[in-house]
Amino acid sequence: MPTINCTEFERVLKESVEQRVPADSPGLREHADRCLNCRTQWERYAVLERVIPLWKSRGTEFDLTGVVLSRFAADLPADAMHTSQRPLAGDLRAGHRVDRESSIGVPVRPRPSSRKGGAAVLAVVVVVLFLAIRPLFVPMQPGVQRQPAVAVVQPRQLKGVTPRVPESAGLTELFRNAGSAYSDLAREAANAAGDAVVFVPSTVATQPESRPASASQKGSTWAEEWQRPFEPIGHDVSDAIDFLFDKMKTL
Amino acid sequence: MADDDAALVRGSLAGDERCMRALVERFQGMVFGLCYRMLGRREDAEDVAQEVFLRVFRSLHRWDAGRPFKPWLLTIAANRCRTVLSNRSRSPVASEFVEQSAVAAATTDDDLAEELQLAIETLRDEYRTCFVLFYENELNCAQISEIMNCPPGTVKTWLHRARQKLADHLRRRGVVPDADYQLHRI
Repeated sequence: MPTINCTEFERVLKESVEQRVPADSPGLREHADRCLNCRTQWERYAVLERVIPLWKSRGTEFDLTGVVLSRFAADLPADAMHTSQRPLAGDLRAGHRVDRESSIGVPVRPRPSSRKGGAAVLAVVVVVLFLAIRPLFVPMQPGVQRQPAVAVVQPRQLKGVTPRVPESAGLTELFRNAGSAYSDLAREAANAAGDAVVFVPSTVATQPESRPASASQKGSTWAEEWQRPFEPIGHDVSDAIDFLFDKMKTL
Repeated sequence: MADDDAALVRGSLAGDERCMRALVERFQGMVFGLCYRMLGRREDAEDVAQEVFLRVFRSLHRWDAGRPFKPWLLTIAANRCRTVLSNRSRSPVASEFVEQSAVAAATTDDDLAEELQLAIETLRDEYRTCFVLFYENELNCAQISEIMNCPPGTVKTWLHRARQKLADHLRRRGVVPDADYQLHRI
């Protein structure tokens, strides 16, 4: 009678399970009679071999066909419902996904089509953002004038209203210089006038002849003397104003 | 059969409703059985089986025609079941109730089958999947290893550990059917 050891017994028992063959041989029986541990293993094996067929025989018949097809059809777009086959085929080939909330309460993964749609939207957003910020990163080449990103709207001309001059670096500098000169001249004129008022004798103010006379008036006395220092100031101020208006006309 | 499966898949992709119906009819028992054995609740199994077929139809265009259809379908079903089990594990564990409940007198075949189902529900997901695929779907270890994406040796280990735990569970529950090694002498 062949005899086996515990290791061989366990190997044979496992192989019988994996190959779905009954574990029954004189060698196994003989070893199980002598070895308590191996007998326990065999009893476990026998219990399961007895119960598993009962467990398998429990009815699992269930007709899913109608439910599955109706659910799949219900998941189709509404415009595909009036035909029976072709829209279904199109949706299958396209991998139509209609993961509405699952009836079993299981979290539903994002649909592949939704993921593709999201990726497409993301790609469009990235492209738009790139095009929007691209001019900021393009180096300016000397001698090349870049077209403005937006159209320049010409201001509407109004009668009697001096048009606003578009700003540029040169014009700004020019106006700043002219403005400064005009301001300086005006300040000097004000100071000179103040000094003149201070030094006018009180007797002059009471006489009608104290009003400044024009330069063409020959023979005028002290008034001409007071008027003479103011002439360059008035001349320069008028020159500055004329300069400003001339520049504005050329714009 | 594999050629028939491929033809049904092609027909389904072409929009033939009869092929889709035949595909469901051919595999619904297998899928529902797997779900029922894995989940233990008929209502859950019905819902998950429907979900599996819906997912299959939506993903048919991704099926590799050069490979058998059945393992691909079972992979989807097993993964869905494991997802449901994973979600269920976050809720109160039913197996604890099973462990703590009084030992029922399993006298009939239905009782024994029920006891085994309860015992299966106490197994780890890997053990449970392996056991159900082996006994319910009658796949061999190599096929299970492809579905579960693990080496065949691991499947064998899981299978034997599952059997051992199930036997221990039945023994603790006092379920000792009239079958021991002595019967093999006959």
